[in-house]
Amino acid sequence: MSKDTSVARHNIKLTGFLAITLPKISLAVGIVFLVLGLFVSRNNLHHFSYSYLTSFIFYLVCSLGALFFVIIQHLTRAGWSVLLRRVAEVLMSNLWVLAIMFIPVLFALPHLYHWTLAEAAQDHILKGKSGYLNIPFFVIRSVIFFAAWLLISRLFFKKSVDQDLSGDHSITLSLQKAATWAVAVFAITQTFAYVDWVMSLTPHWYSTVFGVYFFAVSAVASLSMLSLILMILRRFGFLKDLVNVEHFHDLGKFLYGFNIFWTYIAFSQYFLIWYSNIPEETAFFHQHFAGSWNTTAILLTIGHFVIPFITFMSRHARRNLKFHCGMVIWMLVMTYLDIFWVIMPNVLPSGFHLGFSDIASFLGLGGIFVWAFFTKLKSVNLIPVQDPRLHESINFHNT
Amino acid sequence: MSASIELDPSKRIPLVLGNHTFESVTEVISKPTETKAPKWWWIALCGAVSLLLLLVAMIGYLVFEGIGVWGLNNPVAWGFAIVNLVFWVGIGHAGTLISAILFLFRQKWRTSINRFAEAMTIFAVICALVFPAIHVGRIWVAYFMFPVPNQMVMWPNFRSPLLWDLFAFSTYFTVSLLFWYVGLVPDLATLRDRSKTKARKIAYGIFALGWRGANRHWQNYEKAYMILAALAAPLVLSVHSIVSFDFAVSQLPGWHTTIFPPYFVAGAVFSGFAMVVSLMVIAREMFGLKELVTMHHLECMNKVILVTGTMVGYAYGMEFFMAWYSGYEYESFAFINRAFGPYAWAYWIMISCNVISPQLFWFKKLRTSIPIMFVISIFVNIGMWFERFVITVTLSRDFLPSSWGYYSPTWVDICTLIGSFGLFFTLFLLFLRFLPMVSMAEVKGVMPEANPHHGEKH
Repeated sequence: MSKDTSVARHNIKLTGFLAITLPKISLAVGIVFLVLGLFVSRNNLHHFSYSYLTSFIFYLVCSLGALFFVIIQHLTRAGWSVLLRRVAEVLMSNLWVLAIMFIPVLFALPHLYHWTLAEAAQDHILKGKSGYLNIPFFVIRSVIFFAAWLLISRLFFKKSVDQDLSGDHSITLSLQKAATWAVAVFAITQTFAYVDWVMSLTPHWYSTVFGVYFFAVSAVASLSMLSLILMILRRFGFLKDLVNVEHFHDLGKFLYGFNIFWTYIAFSQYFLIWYSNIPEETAFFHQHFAGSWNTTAILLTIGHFVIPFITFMSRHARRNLKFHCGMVIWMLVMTYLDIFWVIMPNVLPSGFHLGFSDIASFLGLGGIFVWAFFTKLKSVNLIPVQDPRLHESINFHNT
Repeated sequence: MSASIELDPSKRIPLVLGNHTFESVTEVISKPTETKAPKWWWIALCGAVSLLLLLVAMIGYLVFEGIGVWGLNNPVAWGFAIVNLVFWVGIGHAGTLISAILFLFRQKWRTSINRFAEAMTIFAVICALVFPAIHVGRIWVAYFMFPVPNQMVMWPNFRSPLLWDLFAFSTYFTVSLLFWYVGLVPDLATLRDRSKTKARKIAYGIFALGWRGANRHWQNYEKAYMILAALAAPLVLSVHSIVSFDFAVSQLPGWHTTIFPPYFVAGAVFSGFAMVVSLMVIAREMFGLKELVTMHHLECMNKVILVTGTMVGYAYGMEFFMAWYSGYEYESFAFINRAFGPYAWAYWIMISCNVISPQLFWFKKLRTSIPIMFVISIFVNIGMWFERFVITVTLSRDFLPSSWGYYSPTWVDICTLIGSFGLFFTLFLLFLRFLPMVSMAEVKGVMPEANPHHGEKH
């Protein structure tokens, strides 16, 4: 019991710059860059749609990964992570912003997905897929995906916040129960969401592991994002004595493991397609290895796998918070590059090129994302103060 | 008891029930190795050894007569041998997952079952290795799989996944054996110290490597254990991924699909846990281990079965969806043929055992019922064998309709499969009799007495 009262002495409400000034600045940055990006690209909306989609998917993987993180903590009755859970909960709550950000994508369908165009009717293969790849069904599916995610994220967020007040242990039990079906719904919806929104950019191509691939992307991105946000909070004097090097060490291990998982899935997908050499499948890599995209792929291999694999292996590296911070930023950059490499060759067939529309989309959507995140974070406690396993997380030590 | 504790999330469920002390744990676990073997053990061993002899006889006949005694035909060139290979390797995966991944995830309930599961890993890999070894045909030149120098200026084809299998299996076997043995060392020393005869003392003494339980020993032990866990963790993924490559690098519809590696890994863990549950349910009854391997342990394993079974179901679903989505008519045909072709019976056995039956574990009542979990775990084992069967033999309808046929195993195929269970159970029964089947040292580590502050008043 003594632990619970001591938590109250800590700074567990977001105040100051992060609560007031930063959201304002980021909202302004977001709107300015979105408008600017749209203005500058007004004659090339085709390109801008792809840039927009890339950034949208980047923020989506962060929030969806956080949703998975929260569910899995409940599912496994984890103790170590209780202190970190609220930040992840707020990160996943940003899914409502993403739902709104998705609306422009619906208007850009003819730019992005050539199966929506009239000439697709002449394409023998696309004609066969039209039972799945048609606009009404695509829209219905997108609505279902977001409805499911919003339902799950609201449930987990609301109940967790309610527990802050009531301290009711039965909330933990009910969330543990809910986590079971939630993880199943998550697995199916996220798979088909990425199939629809990303894989169908190249509608002839198919890969059964694609959903798992993007799941790995989202796990890496969200863990990096979570670590980074916690470091920023600590930098501003929040949770300083609560979230300590032990928690970062564990987050680092988690990130390291999922990064190897990403490599494993990415390699399996590439390798099996390379080995079999079936034109239907190799077409994707042909397109994604054209020109300087080849260099991008090599950079990804080195940057997304080799560098973190070697440098982040050591316990000392994970526990060195400065290095850890650098690594998670690096991993977020690599995640963006990965998504960029998957999406952008569709509009830039000759090679890598980072243009203003990409930067504008990234900062534009990012500004709004950050605004929504900190606005929400300010309204709740930074940690689930009454969670029955809070003491485990506070006293957590890696052996 | 458990009902009230499970309803209080601030407390953790105890992993050892009853009024056990360190001493009584040692007693219970050492007993089967120190007392006379029970009658049922002898009967079981006789059965297992006879099946083992059947295996030996079948192998002898195969080597003498040639591969023609099996039911292989042209599109189905792998048949039972690969089905059994993949089946047995899969069984082994629970051990590695429990010892490595669950260790890294700090899942303390693993301590009561890891020794048991790791032993299964080793025996299952031995069973698995029999099949590729005898399938090479001219078994006396099997050494050719190793890159040995030879006067014919020939090298093994490094681009063949079958060669990668050789390396994957040998690494897997070595690391698993080391892991198992390192974990055994403190327990072997306990048995040595308790032994009443000279022979026993020497036998256990040799393998206990002079363990005295000194602080320095424990420190090295913990370090070695951690490193081996880290080494074994990727092996959980790599071995079955490479097994899946055997199929997936081909250009055959139904075999070539990118989800194969993670899907095979999930399936392997699934079947491995099912086998652990099947055997553990019996062993805890026979050896009075119910307070060490509690219902909570079994429930946790059943949850893993539910999760991995559902993952396998996801993979089946994705394969089917993509077969249609691809617009590739051969791929679509392969899957329609699986579900509704001549092997539909095998396909539906697979679906009902692997995907449907574990769904019963959503209900707490069913996943904590011994008879139900036993039946489901057997179903899962059957289903996972049929999964590999379906993958392998539905090739009987390939690109060339003139070669379409129906693969049927011969009596030699079937007896070899049955015989491989003899090999597995012989080794397993010997393990139960001569080695501590639960890790004493590790179980003690999760008892409240292990806490340095245990018994102190606040």
